[in-house]
Amino acid sequence: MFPRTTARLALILLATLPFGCGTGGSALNPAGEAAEKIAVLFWWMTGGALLIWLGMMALAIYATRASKDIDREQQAKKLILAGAIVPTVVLAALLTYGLRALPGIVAPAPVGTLRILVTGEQWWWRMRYLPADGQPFDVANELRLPVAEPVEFLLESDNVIHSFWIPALGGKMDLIPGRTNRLVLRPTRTGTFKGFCAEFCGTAHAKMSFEAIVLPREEFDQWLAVQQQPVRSESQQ
Amino acid sequence: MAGGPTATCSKRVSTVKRDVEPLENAPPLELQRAQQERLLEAWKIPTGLRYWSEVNNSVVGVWYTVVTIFFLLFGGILALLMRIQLASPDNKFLSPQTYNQFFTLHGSVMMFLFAIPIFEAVSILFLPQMLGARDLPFPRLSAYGFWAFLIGGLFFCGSIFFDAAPNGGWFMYPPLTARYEPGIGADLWLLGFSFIEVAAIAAAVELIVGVLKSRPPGMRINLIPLYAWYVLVAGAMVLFAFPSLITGSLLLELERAFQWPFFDPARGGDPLLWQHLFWIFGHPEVYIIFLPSVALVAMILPTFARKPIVGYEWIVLSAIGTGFLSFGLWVHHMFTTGLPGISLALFSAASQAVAIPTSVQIFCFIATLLVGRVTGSVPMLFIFGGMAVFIMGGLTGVMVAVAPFDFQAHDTFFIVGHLHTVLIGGTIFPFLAAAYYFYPLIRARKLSDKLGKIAFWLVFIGFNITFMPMHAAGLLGMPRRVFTYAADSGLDLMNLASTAGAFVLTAGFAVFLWDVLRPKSRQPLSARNPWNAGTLEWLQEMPGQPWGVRSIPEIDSRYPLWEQPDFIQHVDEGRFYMPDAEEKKREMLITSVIDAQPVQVLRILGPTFIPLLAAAFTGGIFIFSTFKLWGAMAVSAVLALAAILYWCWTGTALIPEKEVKYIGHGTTVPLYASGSTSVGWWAMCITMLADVTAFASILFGYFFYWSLKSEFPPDNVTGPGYFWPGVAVILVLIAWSLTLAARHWNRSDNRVPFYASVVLAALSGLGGAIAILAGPRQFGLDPTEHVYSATIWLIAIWTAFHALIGVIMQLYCAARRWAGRMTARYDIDICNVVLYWHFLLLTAAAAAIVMAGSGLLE
Repeated sequence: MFPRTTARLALILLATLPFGCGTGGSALNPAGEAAEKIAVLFWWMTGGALLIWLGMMALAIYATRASKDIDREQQAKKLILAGAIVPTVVLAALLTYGLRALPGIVAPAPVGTLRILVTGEQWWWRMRYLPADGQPFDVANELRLPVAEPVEFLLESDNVIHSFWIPALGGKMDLIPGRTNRLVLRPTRTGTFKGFCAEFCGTAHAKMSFEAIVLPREEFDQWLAVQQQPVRSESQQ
Repeated sequence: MAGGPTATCSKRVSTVKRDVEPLENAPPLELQRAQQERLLEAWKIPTGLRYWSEVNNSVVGVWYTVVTIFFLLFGGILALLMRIQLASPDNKFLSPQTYNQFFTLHGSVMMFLFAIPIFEAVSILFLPQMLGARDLPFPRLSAYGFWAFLIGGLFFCGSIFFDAAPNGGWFMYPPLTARYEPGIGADLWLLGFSFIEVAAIAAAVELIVGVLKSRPPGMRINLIPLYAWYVLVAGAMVLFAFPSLITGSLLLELERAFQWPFFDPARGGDPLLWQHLFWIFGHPEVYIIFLPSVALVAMILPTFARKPIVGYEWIVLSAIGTGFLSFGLWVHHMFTTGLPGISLALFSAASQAVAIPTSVQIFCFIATLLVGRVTGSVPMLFIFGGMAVFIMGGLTGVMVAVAPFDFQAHDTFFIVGHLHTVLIGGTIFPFLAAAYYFYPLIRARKLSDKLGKIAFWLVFIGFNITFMPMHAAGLLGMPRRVFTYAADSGLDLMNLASTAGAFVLTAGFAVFLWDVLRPKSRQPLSARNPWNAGTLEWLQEMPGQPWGVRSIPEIDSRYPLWEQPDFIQHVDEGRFYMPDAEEKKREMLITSVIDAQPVQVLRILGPTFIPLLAAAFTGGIFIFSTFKLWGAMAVSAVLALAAILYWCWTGTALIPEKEVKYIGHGTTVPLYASGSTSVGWWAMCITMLADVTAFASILFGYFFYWSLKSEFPPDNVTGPGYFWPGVAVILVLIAWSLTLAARHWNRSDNRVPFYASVVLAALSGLGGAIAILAGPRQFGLDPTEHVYSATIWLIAIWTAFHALIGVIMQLYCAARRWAGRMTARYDIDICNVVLYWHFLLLTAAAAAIVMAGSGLLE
């Protein structure tokens, strides 16, 4: 029964691969520093997991089919020992490798980084730009970011918990009432990327999305200048 | 406590090690027939309406299993409807409001009404048989647990038909569930599930005591069937995991109903406390679900490998290790809440570590396949399929345990794919294997091999088509718990595939259900021990007899049916222990914890409606609270207390008509035992461990706020001072000493000092309850004003409530003695009450130290 099982599973796994390249960026089609690191981590882990899985299936088939005319008690005992030692070694290696990316991802932003205060509402995003030299201003459900520069997001909510997520740029971070969380993202290429609320926040949770438009520095500066003109009275609460 | 109740309370039995062989000759046929008639009379299952008053494990276990499968189907139909909604982008099949109720209910039902109860149902059904016992030690408690589960479950699920179901997710994160979910939905969840959790703890107590005390003679701990080991581990995990959620639910319900601000940051609370309490429960819960399924595999696989399991000790140690480790992983559900890097790394490592014992268990199974000659069968098909799926889920689990990857995967469909792979591969597949394997024990006929194979392939293929694409969908940007997705998101094909797969999966379940339900009266009875298994449950005749095993065997191997010659015949002919029911009463053999030496014959009571009544009234407390009908709730509470007292009064610690009973093979054991020999003492001890854990969870909350919040206690609040907490702990200490004295005076048959000490103990216990409340009251702490005051009040009320229960217990003992139901020799009641007071003293002392210490903090 095993070869058939394996073949079928392999087919199904392969069938999902073409979906790996969507538009608008994704965790697998990264456009940010953290997302790139995580995507590399993901592919290594997936490859490793697939190998281990195939190895386990092969082992199970061998155990079932192997000739029973010889005494296999000793072999069985060694197998159990391997079952304890091999994962310990593999997991230790994975942990060392996997957590290497962590400090870079959770490191605080350098001084002078552009800061944006993100507050989650039910069910939209208020993005308040806090330029170092100039008036703060609000934008709803839209972000414009300069390429190749870090941006620090301050994440707050005064209602329920939300979670701020732009898959193409990096991991997500929760907005928790009573706390201010921080997330630093550094886009690596220009384009328009989708953002979502990842923590269930009530009726229209599914519709609480936004766009992050990554621009070259000059275009971003132009946009910033327009936004900061004091006469603006667009009601973008 | 050493040397306390253990040494003095019980009348010890001589424990000479001996190896008993079956009687050389079978008793004469006439005697055998007479014995069978008496056994039948004792264990007869009532008919008609009174059938529902049965409490025997083989009947209650079947009800329990059927009801859990019903809830599985209910949860499955919800899932199918959700898949239809997600089949295409911007679909309008379900409104967001309905969808949100559906996914909340789906997760909650599958976890609380299927996955955990199925473990308890199957264990109640088969554990006694696996141990060669006639029942579990507290059959009425099993029945109570079942009725509570049924009432709570129906009440909870019924809400969907009134558009009143909870819609905040099965994880119930506040503030969404605290202040943004009007209506009764969240209350239903909090109160309904607390009720069901209490029932689950009751079942865990029953099962743990069952494994510890009702094993057959000779079944030392190294001979216990693996299933029973897993029951012990999973049962212990229930004891330490569920109380945390019960406490969390209590806090959240207090916030919803009375505005106590535990999770409201504006008044000093913190929503993250809920996440900690929820996941301290929630992660072990995964293993509470998973381990019993591994246990099923551990019972089935050796049968088809025709060899004893390889690495028995490794499996037991790994199971225990998994249990321990699973309590140290909860933070990996909170990687994106903004924790410091060191926590992320630490909990990543801990989460990886749990894969090691899991791997050892799987390798033991493969090793068993290696030494055995595997025969193909439907149960093995499900086990192989389950292993393939589960290993995949385990590997994606290792991936998400790496914190950086979890930043992307968390709260997306990747996790939906991962968790279903783990739970369906780790639980549903083994459960279906077990259904095909054990079905002959329930209905004396086999399920169809042909239908079984069809069901397997449909379930297996359907499963993979449904859940594999979800992994990709998540990483492409599909968050969890969304009722729809945009047309331009590139997610439509994957979702369509998942939906199609869900229908195939459903078809597989339909085939399985048809196989179970199709009429089989024309099919021949299954042969006895149809799979040629080696473990005790296969002693059962086809069809099974209500008495369970004909005589309680002496065990000296792990697979007695394989290794002890003519075993079935010897059991059947009554050549072992207790082949008779001389007094026509239901009796079971109680043995010692480690060596399984006979220590007592326990009389257990037969059919009664009292557990049903008690469950209905206890259910009333929770149901009426949901609707804030406080008057009705109070009435229901009084009735529940009355029912439970009546139950205890008429059904526990009964004084037997004679001191000892001969059970065969030159062994005579007492009919009554108190102290640590008795099952009641163990049950009290285990229950109180869960109770103290719940209290510890409240204290965890206190120290959580204290360590995180600068305004805890707030500057403008003082109290509760040292005086009243001090008085309270002294009064409880006095009451505790007097309870000990009462036990002493009772044993020495000194009536006047006994009654005097009980009455004084009750008075000072009552005084203690009042004093602990007096502190926060005197300082005018307002629980709605700040989380500090709320926490202090909760600690005080918790302690006072427990003291009141303790007082009721003391007065109960006095009444028992007065009525002649407790004597110097027959003193279970007071022994167990003393044990309760040990724990109460601990609770009161901790409460007083924290309350008085609050003053010092300022």
